[in-house]
Amino acid sequence: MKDLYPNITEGIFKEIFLASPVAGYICDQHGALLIFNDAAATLWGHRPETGERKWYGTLLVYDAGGQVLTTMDSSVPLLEGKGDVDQGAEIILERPDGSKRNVLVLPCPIVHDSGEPIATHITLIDITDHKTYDEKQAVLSAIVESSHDAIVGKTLDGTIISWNRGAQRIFGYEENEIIGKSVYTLIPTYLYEEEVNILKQIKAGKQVDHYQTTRVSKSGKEIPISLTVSPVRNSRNKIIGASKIARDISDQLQKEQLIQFNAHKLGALHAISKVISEKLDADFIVQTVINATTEVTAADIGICCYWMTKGEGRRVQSVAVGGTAFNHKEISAHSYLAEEFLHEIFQSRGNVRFDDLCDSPTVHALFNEYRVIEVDEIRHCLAVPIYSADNQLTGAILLGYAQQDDYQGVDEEITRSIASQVATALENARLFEEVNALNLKKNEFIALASHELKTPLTTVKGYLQILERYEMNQMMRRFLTKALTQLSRIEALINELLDISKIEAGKLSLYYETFNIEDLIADVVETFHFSSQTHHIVAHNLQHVVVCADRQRIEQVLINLLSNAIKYSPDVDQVLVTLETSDTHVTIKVTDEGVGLSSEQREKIFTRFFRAEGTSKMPGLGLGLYLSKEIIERHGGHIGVESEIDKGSTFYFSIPYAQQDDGTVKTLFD
Amino acid sequence: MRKIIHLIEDDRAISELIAFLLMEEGYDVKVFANPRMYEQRTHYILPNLLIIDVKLACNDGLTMCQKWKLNSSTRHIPMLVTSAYEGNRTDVRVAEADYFLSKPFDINELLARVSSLLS
Repeated sequence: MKDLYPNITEGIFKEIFLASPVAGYICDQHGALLIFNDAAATLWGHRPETGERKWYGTLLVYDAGGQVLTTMDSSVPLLEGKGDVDQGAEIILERPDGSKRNVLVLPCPIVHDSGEPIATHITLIDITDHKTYDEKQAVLSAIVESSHDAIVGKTLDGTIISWNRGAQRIFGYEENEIIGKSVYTLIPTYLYEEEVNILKQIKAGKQVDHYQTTRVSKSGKEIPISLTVSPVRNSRNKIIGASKIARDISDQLQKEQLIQFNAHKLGALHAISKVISEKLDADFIVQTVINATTEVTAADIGICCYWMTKGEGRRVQSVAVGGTAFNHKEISAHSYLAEEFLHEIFQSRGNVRFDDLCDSPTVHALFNEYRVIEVDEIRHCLAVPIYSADNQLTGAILLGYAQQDDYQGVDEEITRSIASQVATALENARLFEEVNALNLKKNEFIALASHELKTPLTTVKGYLQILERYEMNQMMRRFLTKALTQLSRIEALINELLDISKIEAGKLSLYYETFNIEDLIADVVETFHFSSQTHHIVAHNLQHVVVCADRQRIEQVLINLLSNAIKYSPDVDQVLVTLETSDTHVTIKVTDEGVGLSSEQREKIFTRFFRAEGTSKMPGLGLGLYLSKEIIERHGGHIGVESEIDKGSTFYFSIPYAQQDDGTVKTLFD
Repeated sequence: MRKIIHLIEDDRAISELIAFLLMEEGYDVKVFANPRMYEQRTHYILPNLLIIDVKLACNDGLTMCQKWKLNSSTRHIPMLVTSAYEGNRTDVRVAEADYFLSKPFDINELLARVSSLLS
């Protein structure tokens, strides 16, 4: 070797070759490796034995397309590497660990003095990293270019340095007319301050995310956008500019606004339905409806006038006014609309538009009556008729507008549905008033009738009692007793009816007195002892307990509970009464071992006219427990039942020792 | 000396019943249809007991009670009020009547009460 390569193996050139950062090696004319440097070993991934490998330092070699190259294939360019040989052909080397490197091959023949090539000097340039970088760049620019969003690069002083197709689409500028211009070109003057702040953030290395703002297009149109601005750094991590991604959110905003507006409308309509279904006070309903309607229809002022039929068929007009332009003054009688006038307006039976109120002085005057002076004059009006179920015109909603736009945009469908709901509500309110009036009359009648019945009852009872005093045979006495028993039933029924009418009229007055409840129980038990042939009442835990309550009413409750206990326990002969006390209340329990109650029955048993199933043969109106509940609750107490089917029931009530609705003890004369 | 009872009651059947009962017991009973007629009576012997019926929408009876209770010559005379209207119970207290008997009453209770008011 020394003889062949005196220049290389000796001296400085060899040093340079071996220390070179570029991979290089020399093969003889047969491809055997003669020498290679460290850079080549690094590239190959191993240090091959010299004299062994053919042409390359690795076993597997591919062309740039990935096809395996044989030793023959690969040697050709190296051997003939002069002139026309493809200098810098790209091949792929596979290292022993399987990883691949893209390299450029630069062969250079070493020629003997005789002109014969004796070896080849090959330089390999590793282009793997460059290749990946280029590919990435290509992908990135394709992404940027194809993006629907505007992607704009700018320097820290706000000069635009890149501009994609998305930017062109949104802002209207061609790339060549905007590059080099200031980013302020795109910003409305009143938002300059904002850009200053954004640039400040970027300089501080912070990102601005999804910031909603406005930009101006080439044509001067303002566009709502969502902005994300990020700092751009150079390879030494210094911030050199900013990338800006802007998305046109006009559509999105428009949709959002529409959704919001519709949600708002829906909310208002819901409020209307709610008040209509829950309330029966016509004036309240109409006021709520007109407030919501003006809001939904963007009217400045809304007037609803309607007629209600009061007692004796009188038609009374009421007016409700709402809206932001309403001056909240008292609604005066002279501003009411004449019924004939409305009939004239709604000849077509549908909504009527007054495009210019100057042509309709009556309506114009009506709006002026309620308008706040400071606001714009009402110029347009949409009039919506309210028809009752029987197709009578019962009122109208007049929506007044100052602005033409609002007036044009009003959704008439909604106003129509509101009007029909109002009609229903008014009808309900009228029926409710009617029912109330009838109910009042009914209660008055029951009260009067009951009293009238009592007078002859007094006489009959009196005379029968007188007869009772005389000697008579057994049969006569039995008949007389029967008559008196039936008379007591009539009396009890009349009293129940009277009590109910009093409760409904809110006139059940309690007559408070102080008494010993032990005495009361003893008295009642004794009465039952005489009157009940089937059951005996066992009183338990009787003790001296003084309460302040309506003695007669409490007695009535106890008698009622005991009568029920007897009535509904036909197969046993005993009913238990227990007295219990706590710090504040006294409790009386009536326990029977009778038929008991289902949970469903337990829930309903204290309601009016409730009769336990299968008990229709039992006498009574089903008012006893309802009355008892009212009486106990009026005392500030509680009544309840614990029961199981076929096991029996325990009815109980608790009342405070001395308590009234207002928490005070009622004295005799107040 | 027979005790004198004045009865003011507009229902004929009831006044007859009460009068019969009380006379059976040996009382001297005079019946008047209403307070107005009672006040227009010609003989002014005061009774030992006044039984008066009170109507719903008519306060004449109660007004008379109050007047009697304010007058020193009549204040001592016991007054028994009867009524078919339970609600009058409270008013009767206000009018300072001595006893309230709701209709339909038990004749035994009526007699017991009359007797105790007269003793």
